[in-house]
Amino acid sequence: MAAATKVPASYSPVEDAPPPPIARPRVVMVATAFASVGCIMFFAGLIGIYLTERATVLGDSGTWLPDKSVFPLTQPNVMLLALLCSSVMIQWAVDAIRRDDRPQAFMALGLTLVFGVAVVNMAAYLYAVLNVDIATKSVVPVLVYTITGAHILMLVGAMIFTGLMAFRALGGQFTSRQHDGVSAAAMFWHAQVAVFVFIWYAIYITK
Amino acid sequence: MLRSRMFTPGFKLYFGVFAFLLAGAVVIGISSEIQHFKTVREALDYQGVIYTITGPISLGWKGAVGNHIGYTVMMVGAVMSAFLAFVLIAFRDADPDAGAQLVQMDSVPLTKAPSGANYLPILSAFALGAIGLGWVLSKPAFYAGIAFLVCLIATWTVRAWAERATGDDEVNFQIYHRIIDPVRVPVLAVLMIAFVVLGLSRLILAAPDKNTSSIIFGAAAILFFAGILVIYLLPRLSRPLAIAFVTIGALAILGLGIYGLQHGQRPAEEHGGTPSGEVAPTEGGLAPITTGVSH
Repeated sequence: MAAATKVPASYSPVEDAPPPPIARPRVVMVATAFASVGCIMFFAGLIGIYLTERATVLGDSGTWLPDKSVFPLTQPNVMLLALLCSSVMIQWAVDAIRRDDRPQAFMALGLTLVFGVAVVNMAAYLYAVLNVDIATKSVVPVLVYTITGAHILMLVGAMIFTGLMAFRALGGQFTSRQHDGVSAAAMFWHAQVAVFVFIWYAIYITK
Repeated sequence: MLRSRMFTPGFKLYFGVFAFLLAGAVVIGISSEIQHFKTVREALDYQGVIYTITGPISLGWKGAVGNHIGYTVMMVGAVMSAFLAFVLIAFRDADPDAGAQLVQMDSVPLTKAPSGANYLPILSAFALGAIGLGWVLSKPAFYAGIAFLVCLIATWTVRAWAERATGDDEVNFQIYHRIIDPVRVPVLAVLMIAFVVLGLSRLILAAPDKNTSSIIFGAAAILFFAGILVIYLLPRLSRPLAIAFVTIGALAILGLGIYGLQHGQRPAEEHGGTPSGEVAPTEGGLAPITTGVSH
């Protein structure tokens, strides 16, 4: 009887490998909380500068918004509603993964990303409608584009984070026992939605 | 001393920061508003005590807040500190017993150390830099940076997933390479070839004449062949030699390519042929043939 040949390590099947160890809980959540706070403080500084400049100009009896500029409410309202819906979607994803309901979790994560794309699309349309030329001798265009552009970057970052967690959830790494990644993505998503609520009020409502 | 079991040290710290920043916001709101007057009495007589105080308390709704930047930063900082305080108390300051209870184990799991060196964060920072510079300076660099970043994100995602696929680092390593190498190797090969071709072509085009271009081309070919021969003849040193040759070669191509771009292309030589519309003379008195070819 021939001796059994040793299977090279390169051919060892994945099924024989030990299961992955349980990761230490809450590490990603705390890190995401600190990252979210950092991002929000960044926007706090920018919006503070915006409000200060606006108060100074209005206090000198001047006009804050440049001539011929258009600051509509339709597009910002649509963006706000879409972001609020997306918050519900991603929280649905967290709830679904906590109950091991993977199809619903994937659907919710996908819908969240769809809402994110919709907001980016509406932001592009809003930029086309604003009619604010950055070359004017006014601080308004610089501040408006900086604040809103930074929020779009934060939204894109949140979408990338959510997409990564969705990919890992597809790979089976999140269960009811361990779902920190999806919860962390949800926390960062809620943070960028909260940032937009401030931007919506400070820029588009108060004008 | 009675130690609280309900409020964790992290909560106490950030709640203290919240209280401090909240008080600071109110103080800065009131003080920066009344500084426009000569005395505090004059400010309170002009605005009213209620108006002066309710402004900072109501976030500027029922009164003024003075310095908007300071007030906004401090108030948002207070809210964020409160948020962190509640996050830390919800997670019990990463208490090991609470962590073990959460994952239904006897002891809290160990933190998994990264397996192997990971150059993806550095490359991602490089891609972000290219995007930023390209946004201002050059559209091709901007789009190239975006494409590079997308590829890096995809690679990093696969690596992050593969590192947690099983409990064996060796198997995880094999899984990662099984997935990524069929895509990465051809793409990197094409990019490297394009890099070499573009770099050398800039240098060859910057040469003063055709003969010099031929010499440069020949020298590059001889250097490539010699390098490969040395790697083949010294198998024990093949890996470090290959790394050294690739690094030096890449830097040389990059430097020479930049020099060629800066120097500029030499004027294109006139090729044989006649200007458009003219007829080439023929031998033997035969009727000329019009070609209509322009150079």
